[in-house]
Amino acid sequence: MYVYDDFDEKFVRERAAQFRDQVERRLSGQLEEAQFRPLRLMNGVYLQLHAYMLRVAVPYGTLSSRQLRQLSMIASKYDKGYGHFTTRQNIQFNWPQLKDIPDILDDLADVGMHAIQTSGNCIRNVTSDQWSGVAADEVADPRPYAELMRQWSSLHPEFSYLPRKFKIAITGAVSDRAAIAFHDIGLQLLKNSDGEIGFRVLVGGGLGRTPMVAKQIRDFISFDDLLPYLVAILRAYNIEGRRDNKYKARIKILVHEKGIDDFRARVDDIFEGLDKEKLRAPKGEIERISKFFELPAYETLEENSPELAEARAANASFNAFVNRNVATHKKPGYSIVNISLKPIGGIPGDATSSQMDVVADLADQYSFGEIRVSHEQNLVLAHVKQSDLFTLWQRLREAELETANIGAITDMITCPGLDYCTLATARSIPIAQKISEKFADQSRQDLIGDLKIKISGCINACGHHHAGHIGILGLDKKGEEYYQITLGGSGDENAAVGDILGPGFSADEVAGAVDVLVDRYIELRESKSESFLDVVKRVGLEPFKEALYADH
Amino acid sequence: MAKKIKGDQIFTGQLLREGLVVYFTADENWSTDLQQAVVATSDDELTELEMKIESISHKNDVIDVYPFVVVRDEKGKLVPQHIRERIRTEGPSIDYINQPFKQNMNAA
Amino acid sequence: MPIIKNGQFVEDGWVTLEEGAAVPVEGDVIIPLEVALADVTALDGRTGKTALLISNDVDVEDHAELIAKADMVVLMLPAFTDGRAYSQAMVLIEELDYKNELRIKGDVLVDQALHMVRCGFDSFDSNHEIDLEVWNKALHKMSTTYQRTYEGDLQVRS
Ligand code: SF4
Repeated sequence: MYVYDDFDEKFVRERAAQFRDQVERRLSGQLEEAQFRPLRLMNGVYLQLHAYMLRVAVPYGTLSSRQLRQLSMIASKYDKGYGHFTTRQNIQFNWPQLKDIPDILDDLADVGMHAIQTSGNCIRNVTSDQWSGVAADEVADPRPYAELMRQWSSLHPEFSYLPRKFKIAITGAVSDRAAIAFHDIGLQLLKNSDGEIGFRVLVGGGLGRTPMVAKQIRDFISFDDLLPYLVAILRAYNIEGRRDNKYKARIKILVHEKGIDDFRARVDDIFEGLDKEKLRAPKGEIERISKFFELPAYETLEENSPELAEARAANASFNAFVNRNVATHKKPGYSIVNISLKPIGGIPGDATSSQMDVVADLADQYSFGEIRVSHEQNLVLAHVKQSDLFTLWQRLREAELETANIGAITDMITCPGLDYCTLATARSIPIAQKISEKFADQSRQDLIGDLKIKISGCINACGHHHAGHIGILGLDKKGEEYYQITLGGSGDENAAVGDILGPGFSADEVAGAVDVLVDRYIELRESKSESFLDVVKRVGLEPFKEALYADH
Repeated sequence: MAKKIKGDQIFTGQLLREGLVVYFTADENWSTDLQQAVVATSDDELTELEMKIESISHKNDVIDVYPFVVVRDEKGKLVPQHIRERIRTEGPSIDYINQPFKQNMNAA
Repeated sequence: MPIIKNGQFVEDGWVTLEEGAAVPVEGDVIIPLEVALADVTALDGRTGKTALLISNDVDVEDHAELIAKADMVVLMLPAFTDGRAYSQAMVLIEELDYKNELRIKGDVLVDQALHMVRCGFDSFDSNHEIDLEVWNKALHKMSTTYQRTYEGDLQVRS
C-alpha cells in the first residue's frame, strides 16, 4: 500500500500545524464561529448532538496494521474506546474535544494519516472497491489512481469552496462494489482495444433528498487526460452549480437541469481550452505510486487445501463463516476474508480499540499487514492463505468478530442517526439492532440469502437507504419517530433507487414489517437462487404492499 | 403582553473547547445539568434571556445556542419535550460503552 | 480598508465609480462591468487607467474583448464560502490570457488568502479589518502543494 514520502509527510504535517493555528485562533476568540466552521469541517470536525466528532480519512479504504493500531490508540486516549467505520470507508470518533484535535492530527500524521477534506464543500476522500487488487473480476487495481486523485484534490486552490460536497468513487472491477453510480463522479477503469488504461466517467449521481443514478459523460478517457478532465467537470460545476438552495447545490441537480448532453458540451468546451500539459500528473508519478500497490509475495499454493475441507466438515460454525464471509481471491490458495462489524444486536460499523488491535495483529500474521474498510462498514483481510483460515477464525472468535453474515440480512448499512447526529430526524441504530435480533437465526439468514437493508436517520441518506433492497428512512412525525420503507433499490452495477411502499411505521413496528416482507419474498420466489431483489423486479411492489397493509 | 406560543423554554448550547452540551442558568452561566437551567415562560422572558446571553462576557465559550421546549415530569423535574433534546440530554440511547470485546478501556 | 498587496497595505488611488455617475475621462476608475457594457465607447477616450468590477455570476469568457482592455479586473467575493471567483480567475488567466492586476473584493479573510494567491490574485480588498502579521503568516503555513497553479515559492510534487 501507499507509503508517504518526505513530500507527503511534510504536506500533512504542515496541514496539521495550519489547523492547530486555526483552532488556537478560534479558542482565543480571534476567529468567529461562522468563519471557523467551514475550516473545521474541511478538516473533518463536526459538532454533533453530544460532542465534536472527528472523521479521519482512510483513503480508498486501505489501512496498514500500524495505522489501525494508531486509530485504536486515539480511540482509547481521546475518545471512549471505540470508533465507527462509515459508508465512505472512513472512521469517525464520537467524543473528541476540540482542544485535543490538533494533538490527534499530529498522532495521525505520525502514521501518514489525516482528516483532510472528510467533510466540507470540497472534494471528499476518494472511495474505492474494498477488494481492489485481489478481486477475480478486476481489470486493474484502481488504488494508484485513487491515490493520485487524493493528492490532486488535497487543498485544491480552485475547488475548496464548491457549491456543495463532491464525492468521487473509482472501481477497477466489473461488479461495482464502490457504488460509483451514486457519486458526483464515478470512474470505472477500462482497457481499450489497444490495451491502454482509461476510464468510463459517470457524473451526477447521488443519494440525499433527490436520489439520482449517475449518467455517463464519457465512455473512455485516457489516463493522461484524467486530471484535466476532472478539472473541467469541477470548473463547470463550481461556476454553474446552484448556490441559492443547499438542497439543489449538488452537481446532480446541475446535470439534471441542464441535461447530460448540454453539460457534456460545456465540460468539453472547458476541457478543450485547458493547458492539459500543466494539469497532468507529473511524469512517472503514476508508476511511482503503482509500485506501492504491487501485490505481496504470494506463495504458490493449491486451491482448497484438504485441511480446509476437513475443518469445514468438522465445524459447522466455521463452515458458515467460510460460506458467508470468505470470498474468492485471484491467487489460488488464498482468500479474501471479510470481517463483519455487524454482530447480532450490536452497533453497525463500530469497533472497539481492543478489536482494532486484534485485527491489526491478525493482519500482520495472516495478511501482509494490510486491512481494508468497505463502504458497507466492514473490514477486510485481503490476502489470507486458505490454510490459515481456521486459525484466523478462532482468533476472530476470541475478539467477538466472527459474525458470519456478510451480505446477509443482518449485515445492514446504518447511519449514526439521532443517537449522534444533529441533522437526524429519527434513530437508526436501535432499528438495526431490532432487525438484527429478529433475524439472528443463522439458518433463517441462510434461507433468505443475499438481502441488503440500508437505514438512514434522515433524508440526507448517509445510510444509503435509497440503494437498499429494503431501505428504511427515519422521519419525524409530530415529535414521534416513524419509518418509511422502500423496496428495490440497488447500489451495484445495476444501480437503482428504491420505491416507497406506503405509509410509514413506528419504531416498534419496523422489524415486524421487515419480517412480513421477508416471509412474502420466501413465498413468492421461484427458487432459492431468485434473490429478494430479483423477486421485487419480477412481481413489483403490489404483493408486498398487500402483505404489509392488508390487515391495517 | 406576555404570550406563550410554544411552552416553557430553556437555552442550550455546546462548549466551544469540549463540545459538551450545556444549559443557560439563572446565575448567567452554563451548566451541564439540565435541572439548573433557567426557564422562560413567556416570549418576553425568552427575548430577555437571549439578550442576556448575547451580552455576557464569556459569550465565545459556547456555540450553537438555541432554545427548546421543556415540560415537567410527575416529580417536577425538567424534561425536554422533543425526543431529539431528550437524547441530547441523556446521551445516545444505545449501549455504546459496553460494546463487544472491550478490554481494559478507560471509557468514561 | 486599505488594499493588501505583496503582503503590505497600500494606498493605490483607484476610485470606484459611484452608482449612476458618468465615466470620467481622467483618473484611475473601477467601473462595474454593466456600466462598461452599457456604453463601450465611454472607455475609449480615457486618460486614466480603467478597471472592471465583475460580479461572480458573470461568465468572464463572454467579455473577452472588454477584459483585454482593462488595466485591472476586480472579482467579487460576497461570502468567503462562495468559491466562484477562484474559477473566474483561472479562466481569466488561463483561457483569456489576462495578465494585468487581478483583485478580489469582499469577504476576504486570512484563512483563504493562500487559495486566492494560488488562483492568481495580486491584490485584496477586504471588508474586514485584517491583521497583516496574521495574513502573512497564513500565507506561509504551507510550503508544499500538489497542484500546478500559481505556486509562488511553494514546492510542487514533481
Ligand atoms: S442520514 Fe441523516 S441522520 Fe443519518 S448520518 Fe446522515 S445526516 Fe445524520
